[in-house]
Amino acid sequence: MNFDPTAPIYNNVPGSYGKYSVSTNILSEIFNPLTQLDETYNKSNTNKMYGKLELQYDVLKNLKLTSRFGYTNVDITGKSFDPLSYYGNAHINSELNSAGDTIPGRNSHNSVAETKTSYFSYTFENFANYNFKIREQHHFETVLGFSMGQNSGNAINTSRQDVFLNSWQYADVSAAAGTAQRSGLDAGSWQYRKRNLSYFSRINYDYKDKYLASFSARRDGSYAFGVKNKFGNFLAGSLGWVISNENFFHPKGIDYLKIRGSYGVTGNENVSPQFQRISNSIYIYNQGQNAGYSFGNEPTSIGATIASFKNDNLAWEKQKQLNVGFDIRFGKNKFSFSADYFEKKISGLLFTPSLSLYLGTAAPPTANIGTTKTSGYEMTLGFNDNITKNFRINTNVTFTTAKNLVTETNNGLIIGGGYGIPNQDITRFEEGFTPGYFYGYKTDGLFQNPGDITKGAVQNNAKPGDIRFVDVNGDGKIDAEDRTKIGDPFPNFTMGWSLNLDYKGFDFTSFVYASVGNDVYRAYERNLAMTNKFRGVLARWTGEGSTNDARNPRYTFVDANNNTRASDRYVEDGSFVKIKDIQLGYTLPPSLYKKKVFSKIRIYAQVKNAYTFTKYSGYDPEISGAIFNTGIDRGSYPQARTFSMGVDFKF
Amino acid sequence: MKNTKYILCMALAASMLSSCKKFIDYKPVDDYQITADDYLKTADDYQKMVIGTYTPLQWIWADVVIGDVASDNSVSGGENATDQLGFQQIDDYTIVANNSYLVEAWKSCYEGINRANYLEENKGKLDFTGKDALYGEVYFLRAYYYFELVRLFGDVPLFVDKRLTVAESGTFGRAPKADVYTQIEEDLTDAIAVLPITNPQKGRITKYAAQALLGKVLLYQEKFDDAASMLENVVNGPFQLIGYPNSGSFGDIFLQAGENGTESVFEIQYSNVSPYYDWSNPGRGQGNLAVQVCGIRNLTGNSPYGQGWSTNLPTQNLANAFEAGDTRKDVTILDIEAYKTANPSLNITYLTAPYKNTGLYNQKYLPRKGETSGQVELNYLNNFRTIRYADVLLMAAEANNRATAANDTKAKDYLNRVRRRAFADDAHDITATGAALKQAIWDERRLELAMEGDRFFDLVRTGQAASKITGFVIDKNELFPIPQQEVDISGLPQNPNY
Repeated sequence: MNFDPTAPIYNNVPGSYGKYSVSTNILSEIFNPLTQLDETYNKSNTNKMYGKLELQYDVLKNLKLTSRFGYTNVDITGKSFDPLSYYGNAHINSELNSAGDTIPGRNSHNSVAETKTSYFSYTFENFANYNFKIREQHHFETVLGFSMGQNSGNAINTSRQDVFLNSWQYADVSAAAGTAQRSGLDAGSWQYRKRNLSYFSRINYDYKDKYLASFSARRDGSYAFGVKNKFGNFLAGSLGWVISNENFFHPKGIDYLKIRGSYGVTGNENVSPQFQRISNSIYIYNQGQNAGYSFGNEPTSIGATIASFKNDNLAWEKQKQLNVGFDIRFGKNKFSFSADYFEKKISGLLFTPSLSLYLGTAAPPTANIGTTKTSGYEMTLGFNDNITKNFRINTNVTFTTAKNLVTETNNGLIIGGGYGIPNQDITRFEEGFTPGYFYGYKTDGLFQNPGDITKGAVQNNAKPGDIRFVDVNGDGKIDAEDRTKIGDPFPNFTMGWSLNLDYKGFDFTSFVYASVGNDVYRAYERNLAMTNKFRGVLARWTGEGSTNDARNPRYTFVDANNNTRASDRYVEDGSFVKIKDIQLGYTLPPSLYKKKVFSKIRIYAQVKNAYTFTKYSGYDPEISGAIFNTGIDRGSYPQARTFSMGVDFKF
Repeated sequence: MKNTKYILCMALAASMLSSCKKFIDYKPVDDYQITADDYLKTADDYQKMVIGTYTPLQWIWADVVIGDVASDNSVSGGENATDQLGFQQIDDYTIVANNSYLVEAWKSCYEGINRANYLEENKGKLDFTGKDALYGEVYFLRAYYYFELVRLFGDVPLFVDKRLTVAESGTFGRAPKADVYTQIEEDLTDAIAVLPITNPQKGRITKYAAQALLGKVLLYQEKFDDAASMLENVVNGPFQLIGYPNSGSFGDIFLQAGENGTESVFEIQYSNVSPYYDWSNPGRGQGNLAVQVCGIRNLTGNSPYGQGWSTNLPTQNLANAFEAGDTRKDVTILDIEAYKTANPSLNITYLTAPYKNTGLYNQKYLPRKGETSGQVELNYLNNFRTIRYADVLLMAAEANNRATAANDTKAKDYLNRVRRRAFADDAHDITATGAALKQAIWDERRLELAMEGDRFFDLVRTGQAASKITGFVIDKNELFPIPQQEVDISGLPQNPNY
């Protein structure tokens, strides 16, 4: 909660407007969250329709033609109402004063906005399957075809001011009396269309279930890429050898053994075309796209400017994956074990690079920013057995370890993961490092007294109780050159454990997941004076010797030492063990009900995200995100613990 | 039947295959988007692009605030120590390289430069009437943006031929300050050659504006002889001080009615005619946010003033610098408590500035009722009086006083024209010469131009900063730090000691 901790919850000022309090310390920007919640009105209604039309034609016994058309249509209508509100006399979002009257000269209006949004997507696939045998033992399955698809969306929206009685009940554009003067825009629209096209073929081969091979080739085209790079070719193949089916293979205790390997390339086209757009907008302030100017007291002159960069070289992101491994079953098929070595190389990663600021404020284009490599091992051990006639157990443990590395950058260093006021960057995409590793200052305790400060590297503006930063480059002063790697959001290894038990009518399943060695950057702390603080501030430095923990410097509104700079002060070990799922069920004996009506009746109770074992001080150490946001905790909503009970009927 | 189906399928498949390649073609016009390839085909397109080159002038509103907050003229004020943090850091001299106002100044100026360069790049594409004069505006604007950069940051990347593309990211170093100044002079000289002396559209750049800016640029480089002769053109131009011995008073300059008046050489234009609402980037609209930030908190009553955020508060030191009888004091500074006591009928109530209160407010740019609209904080119409005739007179006075062949008679004449207007008499004329006259001119600049954003730069330029500003560190604070991102991404070296 960003709000003033000293304000009461409810408004206790007699004769003043509003149900909840306003702060006398935080005046202009931060809301009482309860008022904000109370004054937020939104409604939306979604209609979704999807379907498939398929034609199949068996031309010959082994040759089948298929033509399939699948579509999804989504229509969303929405409405929101922004009432006249009071958040405090000097608050920038107050339209009312403490008496509940509109503030003179503030141009106070409520407003209602309505939107209609439609999405339509389809895929149209045509392919032929041809299966044949050569001399009985050689089985071939082949596919050849093409597909095309489109994703499109469009929306239209409108708004108006002056809703009768400042009430949600009357909030509708048709009933509002005013114009949309405040926003300057009372209507708007947008639309997009994304199209792609693929030619594909596949051939599967097996010989007596001993030798397996498959090969596939695709040629994919996407509207998003430049003329030269529209199409990408993607090949994949796999080989398998089931050794246990060989006549010579009879070792005791081994029931099944297969060696396999695969290599494949896939593509990613999740990007929009990058062209040099002209903006003639006087409405859009951000992104540096505004191009208006007001000469004298004339109406704003409409100007024009380049609003985005082009990237004619934009091409497919390609993911090449190599897998080598084996599967083995032993102990009368009770035990199973699989091991894999994998190597994944993503080249031409699609992302927005960090460009020199002197390029101006036009929107930077998405580019193929570089190559990352992930390599590691995955092992799964399983046990599956009927212990007694009534008791069955099935359990699996999976262990995965992987190394992530940026092996090539095409656009130089990319920085991101920005947070805070003012914005600080915390993650980097840099050759030779983990993608999105944390970058900042290293801390070395707190200055306990003025003498401490004069020792060691020069650190401007430091006072006792402030954090001592590490002079990483040893030049005798603390500056931006001393920043270094302070964390890595990727785990050293992860483990999963699933357990299924059946006993008579009872069934039990659970899944536990563990992640070890992943760092989390605590980026949710706001450092504004007068707002709520986190509990950690109670352990702050209060005098010489009180604490030397760099996480708890003295508390000061004037942070001259910049204790809040991006540093390992905010980096925590985010290792965790999570009980993700527990379920207990009981299937009623059929004797209790008429089998003709129900084939099965099962009652169950389930807990999702039952418990997390972690030392992390925030809400939830499991934070996923794109490259630059992995492990950056901006106070994201934790995964909910869900309790549920239910009955399954099967007819 | 089966055959029909078969034929139908095959025909469908064949037709699809043939039209496939077209299927994934993309033309921005499909999404109603205009591209650069469609543009700059008419004179109107060029006109619009030039307007777009003016736009970033409005975004660097904070530079004017910085010019005073960084000096002995004003304090950052605000709600508390973390409100308007960028200004707090500059006031306290605890500036870090991600200071949001400095980053915004850097980005906005370079956006302006790239917009100007795009016009330069496409200069030969089309000929039309009035093109040369129009390009005069472009060159002035580019010079203005580079001048802002060079006086804030010193050496900066310099490029003029074209709008940079992605490929140029990270390829420029910091050009020496002297080279940047050479380019500025060249652009202004080119602009002067083609710009008209007046423009029917108010706020457009004229030849005099370019001459005055060139004079200022020369003064910053201590090229006093050239500055004196360049500024002489403007001194003899069609401008007039508002107030004694002419009609009106000093205060009229800063009212809405005084915008683009007879004393105005160049103003950055703002308006409240497009009352748009956008907090996503509050300083990038048509309104002047510097006005809102300096207003009095929770002000009610019947005064002409609107309420604001108590930032950029004049210091007592500035107030004390005015001599008795100087009419500029009350125009520059509003002592709100004294004003309230003197005008009980206005029923004024207000909240004392919660942080760094001085009791004084920046009256030249104080929010006034009826001068904003829409989202009221974002739409104050007040133009910045960027170059006034009085400023030109004082610059010319200084240039003449410091020229190789000093002309103190002229210097005194120009200085005293400003002083007579201030005191409405001849009794306060300066009679000193030489170094004493120079100091008198400098002191006069402070008083005449207080809260107009030049004080810090004047103190640095004249070597007085360390003696006048608390916290100022020699060999460091003459320049502000360049954005940290530019150090990280572009590999530019940071300014010394940051």
